[in-house]
Amino acid sequence: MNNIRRNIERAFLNWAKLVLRYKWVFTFLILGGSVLLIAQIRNLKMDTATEGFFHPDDPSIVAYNAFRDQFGRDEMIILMIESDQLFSLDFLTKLKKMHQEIEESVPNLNDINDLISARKTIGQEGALIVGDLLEELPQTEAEVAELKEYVIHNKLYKNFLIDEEGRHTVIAIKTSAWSTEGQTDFGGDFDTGTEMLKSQEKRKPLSDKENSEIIAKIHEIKVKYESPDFKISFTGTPVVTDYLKRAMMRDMRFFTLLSIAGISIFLFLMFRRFTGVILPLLTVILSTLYTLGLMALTHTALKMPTQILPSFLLATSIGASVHMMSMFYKDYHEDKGNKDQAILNAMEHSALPVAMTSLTTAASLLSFATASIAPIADLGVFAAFGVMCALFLTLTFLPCFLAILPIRHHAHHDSETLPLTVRFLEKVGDFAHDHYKLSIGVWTVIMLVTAVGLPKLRLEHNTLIWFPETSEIRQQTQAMDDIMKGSVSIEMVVDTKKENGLYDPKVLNALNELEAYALTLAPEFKKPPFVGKTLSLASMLKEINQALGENKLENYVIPQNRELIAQEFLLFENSGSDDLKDIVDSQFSKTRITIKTPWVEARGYMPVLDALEIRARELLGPEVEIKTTGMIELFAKTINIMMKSMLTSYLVAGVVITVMMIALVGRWGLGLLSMIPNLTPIIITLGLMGLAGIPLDMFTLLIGSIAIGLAVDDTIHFFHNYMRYLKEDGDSKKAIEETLKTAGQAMLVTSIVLTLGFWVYMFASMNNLFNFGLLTGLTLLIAFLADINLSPALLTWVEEANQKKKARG
Amino acid sequence: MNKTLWLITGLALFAYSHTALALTPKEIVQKVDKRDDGNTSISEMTMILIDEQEQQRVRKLKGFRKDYGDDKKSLNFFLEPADVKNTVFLSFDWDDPSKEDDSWLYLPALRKVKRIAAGNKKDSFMGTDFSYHDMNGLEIEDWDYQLIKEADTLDGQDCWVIGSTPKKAKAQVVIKDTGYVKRLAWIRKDIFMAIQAKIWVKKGEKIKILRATEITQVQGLWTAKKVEMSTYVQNKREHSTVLLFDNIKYNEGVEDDLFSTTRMEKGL
Repeated sequence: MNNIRRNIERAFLNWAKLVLRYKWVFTFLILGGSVLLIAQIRNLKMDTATEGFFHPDDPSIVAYNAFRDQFGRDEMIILMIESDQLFSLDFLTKLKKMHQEIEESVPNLNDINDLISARKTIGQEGALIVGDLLEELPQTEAEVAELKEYVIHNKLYKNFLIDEEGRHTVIAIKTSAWSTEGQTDFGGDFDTGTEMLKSQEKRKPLSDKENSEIIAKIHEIKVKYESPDFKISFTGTPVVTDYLKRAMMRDMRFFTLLSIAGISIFLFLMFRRFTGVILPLLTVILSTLYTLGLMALTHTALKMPTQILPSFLLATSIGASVHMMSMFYKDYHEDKGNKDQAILNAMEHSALPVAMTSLTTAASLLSFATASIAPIADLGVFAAFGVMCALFLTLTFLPCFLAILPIRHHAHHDSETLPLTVRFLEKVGDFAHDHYKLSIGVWTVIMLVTAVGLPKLRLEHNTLIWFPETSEIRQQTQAMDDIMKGSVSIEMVVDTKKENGLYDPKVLNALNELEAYALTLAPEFKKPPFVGKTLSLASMLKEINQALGENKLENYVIPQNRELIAQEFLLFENSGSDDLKDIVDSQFSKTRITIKTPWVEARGYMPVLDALEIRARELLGPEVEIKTTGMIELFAKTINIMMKSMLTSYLVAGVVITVMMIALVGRWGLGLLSMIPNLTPIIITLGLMGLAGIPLDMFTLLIGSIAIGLAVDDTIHFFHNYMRYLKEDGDSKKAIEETLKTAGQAMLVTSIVLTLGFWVYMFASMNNLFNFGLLTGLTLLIAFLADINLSPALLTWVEEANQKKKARG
Repeated sequence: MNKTLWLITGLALFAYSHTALALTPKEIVQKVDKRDDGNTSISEMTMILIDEQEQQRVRKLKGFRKDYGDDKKSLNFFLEPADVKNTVFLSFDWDDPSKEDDSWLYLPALRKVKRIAAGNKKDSFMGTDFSYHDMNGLEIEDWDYQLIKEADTLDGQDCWVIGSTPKKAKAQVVIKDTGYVKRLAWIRKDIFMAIQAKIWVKKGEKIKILRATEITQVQGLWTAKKVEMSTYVQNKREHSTVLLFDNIKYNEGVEDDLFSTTRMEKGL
C-alpha cells in the first residue's frame, strides 16, 4: 500500500515536471479548451418549470398531464378580500369593477370565480335559472340584505367564496393550462390569409414566463384596488411558486457573488498576494464554466437544484488550490525564490491528498446520479464532473500559471507574520496530544448533548417557511388557510369507464359520501392538513335538485332515479352554464373531485391522500378507477420519493467515503478511525438542526452534500500528512506537529475563508438561504476543529494503546 | 372603326359584369343569411360528441322548426340515449336582440316542464362545440366584412373567402357577446352557403373550425347533411361535434300548436 502511494506521488511529481517543461503548450491547450467549452454556454437552456422535475414517462406526470388535458389547470391564483362592509353597495360595485378589470387585462385567463360570477342555481316560477350571482348588482338596501341572506346560507359558496363570518370573500382565478407563446394570430387582421391550422398532437404547458406575467398583472390590479376597507391578500400555489423562484434566483445569484467577493478578500488577507486570490478563483470560475458548457453540450437544461453548483464548486475547489498554494508559498520562501522547485515540492506533497479529496467528493456526488428525480441526478453527474475539472485545473492550470506569472519573493519579515498561526496550531496540536483523553471526552460530551436533537429532526419540505415570517406571501397564505379553510387543492379523478356511467345513482351516492368523509378528516380543524371544502359532481347535482324542488333544503339530496339524474344534468347543461365541462368529460364517464386543504409541508398530504383513496375504493367498488392527482399531489409524492432517494444516496456516499479513507490511510483500523472526525461535524450539525427545529428538506438535503464533501476534505489532508510524517520520524507527537504546521495552515486558511464565505448567506432574507449559510459554515468550522483537535487526540490515543500493547507484548 | 367598336363593347361588358355580378362582401353575407331553408322543417339529428381521445357520445333527436318572419320556433324530442328519452326541448328565438329567447325543457322523469332562463349566447349549445350564436346566426350589422380571397376551391367548389371582424365602434361589446375575435368563411358562389369557417375565440385563444359537407338538394332546397365543429387549443384538437341530419322534410306538417308546453308532455 505504501509503495502504491509512493508511486502515485511520484507520478504526480512527474506530471508536474511535464507541465513545467511544456508550460506554454499546456497554457495554450487550456485556453483553447476553455474557449471551445465556454462557447457552448450560449446554448444552455433554463428550465424552472415543475415538470422539469420529472422523467417524462414518470406515471405521476403522465396522470397529471391526462388530468390537465381533460380539466385544465388545477392551481388557482387567489385574492382574498377583507371588509367589514362586504355586503354594501360600495363594496360590491368595487368588486365588480375589479372583476371586470381582471377579465379584460389578465392574459391567458380561463375563468374567474368570485361573488360576481358565482354560479347561482335557483328555481323560480317553474323555471330553472342558472346564472351569475351578481350579473346585476343590487340597487337597494333590501336587495343587499336579501343577497347577504342567500350568500351566507349557500352551501357552494361557504369556505369557497365567502368565509363563515361573511367578512372575507375570494376571487379565484384560473388560468389556461396551455402556453400561447408564439401565437400571434389573435389580432384584428387576416395576416395569415386563408391558411387553416396545422393540427398537432402536443401543446406546450403554460410557461414560467407567462405565469410570471399573469401574476405581475394581477398584483398590479391588487395594488390598485387595495384600501383600508378592501384589504387584499394574494396567494395560491402559482403565486407562492412564482415568488419563490424569483426570490431564490435573485438571492442565490447575489449571495453567490457576494460570497465570492468575500472569499477573495479573505484570501488576499491570508496570502497577501494577488496570485493567491486570482488563481484559486480562476480555478473555481473555469470549472463552473466548463460544467455549464458540458451541460449545454449534452442538452441538459439548468434547473432549480443546479443553482447550487457554483457554491458547491467554490467550496470544494478553493480548498484544493489553497492547499497547493500554501505549500508552494512556504517552499518558495524557504527556498528563497526557486519557483520551479517549490512548485514540484507542492505537487509532490499535496497532489495526492488533493486528488483524494476531489475523488471522494466526486464519488459521493455520483451516488446522486441514480436518483429518480431528473434534476438531482443531473446535479450528481455534473457536479462530479465539475469537481474533476477543478482537480484537473489545480494540477495543471495552477502549476502552469505559477510558473509563468511573476511572483514576488517576499522578504523575510513577511514570513515572520506566519508563526502566529503556526504557534496557535502547534499549541492546539500539543494540547490534543497531551490531553487527548480530555479532548476526546469534551467531543463526546458535545456529541451526546447535540445528539439529543437527532430524534427531533424532522424530514419535511415546506417552501412557504423559506420566506421570512414577516413576508406578505407567507402571512397571506396562512391567513387564507385560517379564514377560508385552505389555499391549495388536491384533485381526485373518478373514472367509471362507462359512457354515461356518472348517471348511476350508486356512483353519485358514493361521491356524496366521499365528500362528507373528506370533511371529517381532522374535524377539529386543529391539526392540519384537514379538508376545508370539497367540490364534486354530487354537490352540483344536489344543488340542481334543490333548485328544481322549489329551493327547499330537504331537496338538497341526490335523486335516486337514473333517468331523473340524466335529465336534471341535461336541463342544467341547457341552462347556459358551462360548469359541467369543468368537472366531467364529454362522455359523462369521468369526473373530478376537488378537495381544498391548507398549505402544509409536502409530505403532510400523504396521510390525507391515502385515507381518501382507501375510502374512495371502498365506496365506489373495484370497477371504478380512482386516482389522486393535481400539482399538490404531484409535489407531495415527488418530494417524498426524492427525500428517500437522497437519504439512500447519502448512505451510499458514506460507504464509498469509508472505503476510500481506508485506501488512503492504508490501514483498516485507522481508516475507520478517520470516519469519527468525518462524521462528528455532520452529527453535531444534524443534532443542532433538530434542537433548533430546522427541518431536513430538499434544500438542506442538497446542501448537505457540500458540507460532507468539505468535512471529509480536512480529514483527508490531516490523515494523509500525519501518515507521511509518521513514516518519516516514527514519532506521533512530531507527526501531529508537522501536519498542523504544513497542512494545518492550509486547513486553517480554507476553513476560515469558506466559513466566512458561507456565513455571508446569513444576510439573505430567505430563511433557507440563511440556514444554508449558517449550517454549511458551522459544519466547516466544526470539521476544522475536529481535525485539529479530535483527530490528533484520537491518533494519540491509538498510538498510546499501541505503545502499551507493545510494552506488554 | 372596328377596333373602336370592340373596345367600347368590351368596356361596356366589363362595366356591366362588375356592377351586376360583383357583390360586396356584406351583400354576400346577407345573401347567405337569407338563403331559403324552408319555412318549416322536420328532421332527425344525430349529435356526436368526440373528445380528445376520440371517444364518442351519441345523442339522437327529432326536431321541428317553423319560421315566423325573422323569428323562429323549434321543438326537439330526445330519442337517445335511453336515460333522456322523451325529454323535449322547446325554444323561441326572437330576432329582436333586445328580447331574450325563451326555452323550456320537459323532464319525463319529473313529468314537468321547466323553463330555462336565457343564458349567454356564446355559451355552448347542449354541451356541443356550437354556441347558441353558431346555431342561430350572428347579427350581420355588428361586423365589418372584407373579401380575403376572390376565388378559392374547396371540395371542388368555387368559393369566396370572407373575413369578418367586429365593428370598431362596438368591438368590445361584440367580442363579449359572441366570444369571437374574428372569423373567416368559405362561401360557395353557386348556392350562397358557408361550407367552411375558421373562428378565433378570445377566451383561451382557441380556434374553432366549421365544416359543412354532404350538401345535396332536398325538395329543391340546398341542405348540408353533415355539419362539424372542432375546437382547437394550441393547434391541438380538444373536442368536436358532428351533427348529422336525416329524413329532412321542408314546408310540410308543422302546425303552430306544436310549439306549446302542453304538446311537450304528450311526446312524439
